[in-house]
Amino acid sequence: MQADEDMTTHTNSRAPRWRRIAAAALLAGLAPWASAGLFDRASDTFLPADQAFVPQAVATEDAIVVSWQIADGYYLYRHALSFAPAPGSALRLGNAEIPPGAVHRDEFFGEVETYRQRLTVTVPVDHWPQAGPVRIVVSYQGCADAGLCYPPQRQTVTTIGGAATPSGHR
Amino acid sequence: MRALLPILAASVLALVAGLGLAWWWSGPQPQALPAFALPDLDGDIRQASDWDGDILVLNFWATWCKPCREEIPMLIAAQADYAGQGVQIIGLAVDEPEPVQRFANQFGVNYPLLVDALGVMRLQDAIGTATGLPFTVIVDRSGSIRAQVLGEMDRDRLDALLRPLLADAA
Repeated sequence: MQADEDMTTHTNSRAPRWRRIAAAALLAGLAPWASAGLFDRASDTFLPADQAFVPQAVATEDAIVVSWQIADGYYLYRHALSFAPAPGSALRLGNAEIPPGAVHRDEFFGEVETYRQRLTVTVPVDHWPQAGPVRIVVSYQGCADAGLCYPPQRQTVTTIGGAATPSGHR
Repeated sequence: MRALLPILAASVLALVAGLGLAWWWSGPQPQALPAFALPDLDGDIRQASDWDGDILVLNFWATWCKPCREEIPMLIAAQADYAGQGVQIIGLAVDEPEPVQRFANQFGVNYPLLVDALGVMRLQDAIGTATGLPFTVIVDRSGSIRAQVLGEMDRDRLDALLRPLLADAA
C-alpha cells in the first residue's frame, strides 16, 4: 500500500516535467516544417488527384458502371471524361451514358458541365472478351475550388465483378 | 516493465528531438532550377540561361485551368511593375499552342509563353512533387529556387516572395 502511494506521488510529481519534455520534442520535431517556410515550399493543402477523385468500376451483365467519389470542394469536368478498353483488350464498349452536370459559363470555353460529390457513368459493353473482371481506361480532369486544377488523369481500373462467360459463349 | 516506460519514452523523445534539431540545424538547401529547353509561341527554343541574372517567376498554367486564367491578369500587371527591376515572368503552358496564342492575344500577355505539354510537365516534376496548376516557382538571380507555390496566388503573396530577392545585387 505504501509502495502504491509512493508510486502515485512519484508519477504525479513528474507529470509536468514529462509534459515539458514532450512539448520540447514536439517543437523540435516541428522545426523542419518551420524552417522549410524560409523557402516557401509548395503548399500541401490540396489533395493529390488520386484522393480528390477516386474512380471505381463495377461490371454488370451488359455494362461497366464507372463511378467517382469526389472530395468536398473538388469537381470534375464533363468534357474531359472518356472511356476505352485497356490496351490489348478485346473488350468492346458502346457510347457512355453520362448524366447531365451543373452548367457553368466559362469565359474562354463557353458552356461547361461539372460534377461534385459523386459521378456515375454507365458504359455499355458490346463484347466481353473473357469471364471475370476486365480492365477499362478512364480519363477525367478536375479542379479544386481553392484554386487548383489537376492535369488530365488516365487511370486503368479493374472492374469489380465481370461477365459470367465471354460474349461468344453466352 | 512499468519502471522502464519513462526511460523508453525519454529515449524516443530524445531521438525525435535529435533528428528534428539536426534537420533544423542544417536547414533546407536551395535547389537549382533544372535546365530546360522549351519552344515559345514563335517556335523558338528558350532556355533558363536566356534570362541569366534575372529573378524568374515561372508560372506553370494551362488555358483549360480556370484558376490559372484568373491569376494571369495579376501576373501581367506584376510584369509591367517589375520590368525595370530585373524580374522576368515566364508562362509555361501544359497545353497546345493554338489556345495559348488565342489566350495571349485576348488578354495581352506581356511575358514569354513557352508551350509544350509534356516538356512542361516534366519540368514541373523535376522541380518538385507538387501536382496541379497553377504552380509558380520563384528563382533568384543565381538560379536557385527560392519558393514554390501550388494553387492560385494573389499579388500580395507574389510581392512578399519577390521583396527579399530584389535586395540581392542585380
